[in-house]
Amino acid sequence: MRTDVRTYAGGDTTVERMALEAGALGYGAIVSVGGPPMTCGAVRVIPGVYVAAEKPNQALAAVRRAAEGTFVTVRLGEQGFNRAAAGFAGVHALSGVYRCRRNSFDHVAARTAADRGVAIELVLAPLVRERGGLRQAALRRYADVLVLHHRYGFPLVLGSGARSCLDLRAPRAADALCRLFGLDEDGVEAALTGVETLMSPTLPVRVVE
Amino acid sequence: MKPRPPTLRANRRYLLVRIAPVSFVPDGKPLYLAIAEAVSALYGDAGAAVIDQAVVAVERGHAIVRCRRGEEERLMAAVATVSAVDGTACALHPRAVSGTILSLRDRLVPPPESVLLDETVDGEIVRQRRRIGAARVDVIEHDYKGERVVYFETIHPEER
Repeated sequence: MRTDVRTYAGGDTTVERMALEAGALGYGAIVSVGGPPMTCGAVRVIPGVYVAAEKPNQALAAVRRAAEGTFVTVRLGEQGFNRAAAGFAGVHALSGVYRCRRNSFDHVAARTAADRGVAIELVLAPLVRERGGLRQAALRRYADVLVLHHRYGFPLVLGSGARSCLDLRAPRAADALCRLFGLDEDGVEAALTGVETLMSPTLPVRVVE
Repeated sequence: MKPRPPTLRANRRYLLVRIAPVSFVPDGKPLYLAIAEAVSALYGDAGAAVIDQAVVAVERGHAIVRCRRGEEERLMAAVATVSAVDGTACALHPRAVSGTILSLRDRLVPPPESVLLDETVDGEIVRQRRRIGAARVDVIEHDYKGERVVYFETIHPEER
C-alpha cells in the first residue's frame, strides 16, 4: 500500500478531501499530521505527530506523549540531537534532513537508525516549491542520505509535505523527482510502501512460558 | 518551406497531464511559460534546449506536453515542480506518456462537470460552493482579482 507520509490537516483542504485526492493519485494511505484516524473511501488516514524540539529530552517527552497508532516523526537538528533522536523508542521517522547542516546526519546516526528500524523521511516539498540554492541544497542532502542508506540500510519514506491537495504529487511524479538525486524506481517503491512495516515492525520471537 | 522528410525529423514523446483543480482551465501560453520556467529552473538552459518542451493542447481538464524522445522522465520531474500557472495555484499530475497524440486522447477521461451548490456574497467577494463528481466540493472565490479556489472539502455521504 503506497503511503504519503506527510500531509497536514488544517490547511485549505479537509482531511477527507486530502484522502480522496491521494486515492485518485494512487495512494492507499496518507499520514495526516494533526488529523484524526479514519478511512475515506479506500484510503486510510493515519494520524501523525510531528515533533519539533530543540533538545533531545524535550523531543523524547513529546514522543512519549504520542498516542498509540500514530506515525511519529522527529525533526532533525544538530549532530548531537540527530544521534540521540535516531535511538528514541517509538519514533518511526526522522524528517527535515534538507534543512540540516552538511554532515549533521552522519554515519553514527545512520547506523543507529538502521539498528532501530527508524526511517529517514524525504519530503518532496523543497524540490517542488523551492528554486535555486535551497533546492540545490535539498538535492545535495538527499543524495548524501542516499549514500548512507546504501551503506547502512536504514529505511526511507517519502512524503509530499502537502498542506493543500494541490501540493500532493502522484507516485509517478515522485519517482521522477527522486531520480534527480539518484533514487531508483525500486527504491521509490520501497519508500512509498514502507510505512506498514514501520508501524508494525517484525520483532524477534519470544518464548512465552 | 518544404517540410523535412520523416526520417530526418526528431522523434517526440507526448505527456498527458491532468490539471488540478478541475475549475482551473489555463490558456496554452501561460501553461507553456510555467512549464518552461520549471524546466529551465531544474535543468538550466542547456537542459531545456535538449528537452525541447512545448504545450500541444489543453482540453477537457488535461494538457498534452511534447518533448524529445528519451527526455520524458526529466520533463515529468519538471512538470511536477509546477505549482502555479499565471499566478493561480494549481498542480499538474502526469497520467500517461505516448508516442502519438491520438493514443493520449483515447486515454483522456474528462473530469466531471461542476454543479453550483450555493453562493454567498460578502461585499465585493462572491463565494460559490461547487460540487465536482459525487463527493468533492470546491469553494471558489470571485473578487476583483479574479477567480480562485480557496477551500477543498467533501460532501457528506448522506447528502450525495
